[in-house]
Amino acid sequence: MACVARAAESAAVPLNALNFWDMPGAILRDESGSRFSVALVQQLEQHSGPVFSMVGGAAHGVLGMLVHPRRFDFVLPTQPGLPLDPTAELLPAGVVRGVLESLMADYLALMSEVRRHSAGPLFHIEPPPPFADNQRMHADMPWDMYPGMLHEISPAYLRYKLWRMHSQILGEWCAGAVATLVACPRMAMDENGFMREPYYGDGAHANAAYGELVLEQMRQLA
Amino acid sequence: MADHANADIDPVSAPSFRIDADSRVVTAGSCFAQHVARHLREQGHACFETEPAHPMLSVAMAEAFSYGIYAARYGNIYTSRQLLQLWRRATGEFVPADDIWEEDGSWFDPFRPTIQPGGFSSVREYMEDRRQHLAAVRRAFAEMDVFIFTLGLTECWAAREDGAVYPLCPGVAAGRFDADRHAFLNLTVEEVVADLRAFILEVRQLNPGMRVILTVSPVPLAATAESRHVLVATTYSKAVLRIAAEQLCQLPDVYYFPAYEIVTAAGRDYLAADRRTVLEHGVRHVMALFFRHVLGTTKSLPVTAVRDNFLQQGQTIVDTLCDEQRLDPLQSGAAMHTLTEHHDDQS
Repeated sequence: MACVARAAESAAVPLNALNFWDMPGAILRDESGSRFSVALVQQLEQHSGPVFSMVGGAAHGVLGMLVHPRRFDFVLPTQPGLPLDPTAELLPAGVVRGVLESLMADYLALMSEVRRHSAGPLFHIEPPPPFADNQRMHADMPWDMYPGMLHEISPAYLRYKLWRMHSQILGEWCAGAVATLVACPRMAMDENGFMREPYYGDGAHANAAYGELVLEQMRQLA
Repeated sequence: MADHANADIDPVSAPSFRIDADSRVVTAGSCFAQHVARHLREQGHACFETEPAHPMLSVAMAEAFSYGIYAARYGNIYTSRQLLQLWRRATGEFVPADDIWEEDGSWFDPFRPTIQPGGFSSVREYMEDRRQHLAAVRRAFAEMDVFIFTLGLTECWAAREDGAVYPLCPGVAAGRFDADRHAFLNLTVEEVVADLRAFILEVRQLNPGMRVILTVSPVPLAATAESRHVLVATTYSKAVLRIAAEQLCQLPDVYYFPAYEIVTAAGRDYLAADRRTVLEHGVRHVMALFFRHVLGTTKSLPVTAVRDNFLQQGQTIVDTLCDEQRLDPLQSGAAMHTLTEHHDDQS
């Protein structure tokens, strides 16, 4: 969640940030799944909370930021009237959800570990909404780094539906884990639910202005 | 016959045509038809699929959503009437009045009630999926070279309003049974012949080269809606289907393969303790004779479902983009995943 980190730094807000990527050995993986190292467990258990989780959050992008060679789309169960890509194959929503869940499984397991070792309130920050302008995103993608994939951004509404489904799964996890899903700042979204231009960062991220909005949400909850 | 071991019994007569390696084979029918498709794939004969699983799906998910079992996601087709109805729905000639069932917020296809776990999530999803599915059925039947149909049942339930037949009695997997709206049918020889004759003739109007292989499922009925013992009902159904198949073989390029006879000749040896399930060695015997007499090529490598690495590539892209963000000097030491509010008492 780079945009929040940038905003915190700019605003001189003290954050105790735990980035699992920068903590070699913090996550232990075996056949039973993922768990935290003793040192990380101690760090979490010594903290009275609240904890703001930004674990994962990109599974919907993995599945649908770029067009699949066999184009697909689906009807979002909660908003079935949203547009469908007329050139795409329709997949059952249950199939799309199943693929998303498989992509999210690892970080939902990490979130469970966070929950298990955090005594205080746990908030999970909803990933930012998609940006509707495919052309702008296309221009920002470092395509040369990704040979072998179609260099085409998926239709905006497919990306939106995947983001909503992703958030629904997160919300269900939170409901079962006595955690709170912190919805995206309302003012960052346009009337259709896409990210407004002032908060766009690059093809895959929001910018620091978006981070400031999230940071303010966190301050109010802390 | 008296001196033959089960595995040596071969009642197969040579067909007038063979299935070649590049033949587009479509299978349909009752549960036993799934064995036929599976063994064909294992022998390297990919069945023609017009509604295949998306390559992102795992094998388990594809199976759960009824992909890869038949050419399209039509599920088991137990009766001749159901087959003819599917074709006529695919061509738009018949539109059943009983269109959709709602149950606890989910939506079910009356003619494919078990096609996916939990039914459809919305009316629109059902409508769009049905449109896509019926187009896939139309293409499969219009372009296939060989159609293998396993006749399973004569008993079925139909809508009184327009005669639409259901694969399962309404209320079993979804929907609600209503005696005022649903009627029991037990098809006769003449009806089965008429259904399949109509199917073959209508499909051949679009696909004149279609060849047909008929089999009768050796699986006995699990239950009957007739007021008689299920064993007696089974005998009636199998007799009707067997005679109907015989009569249909008078049509050009329609061939009967005696799967029923191969299994029943073995008595209990090919049946599980439930007296219904055909054991795998019985299925293997059937399919070995099928391959010997009907397939024009020898054994080749099994056909496996195509999977892609799109998700792995997508993960790499996202990881790389996140790496770029992390390398941004503006946010050295900043968190990516978990942020914990810093409290003065923990500084």
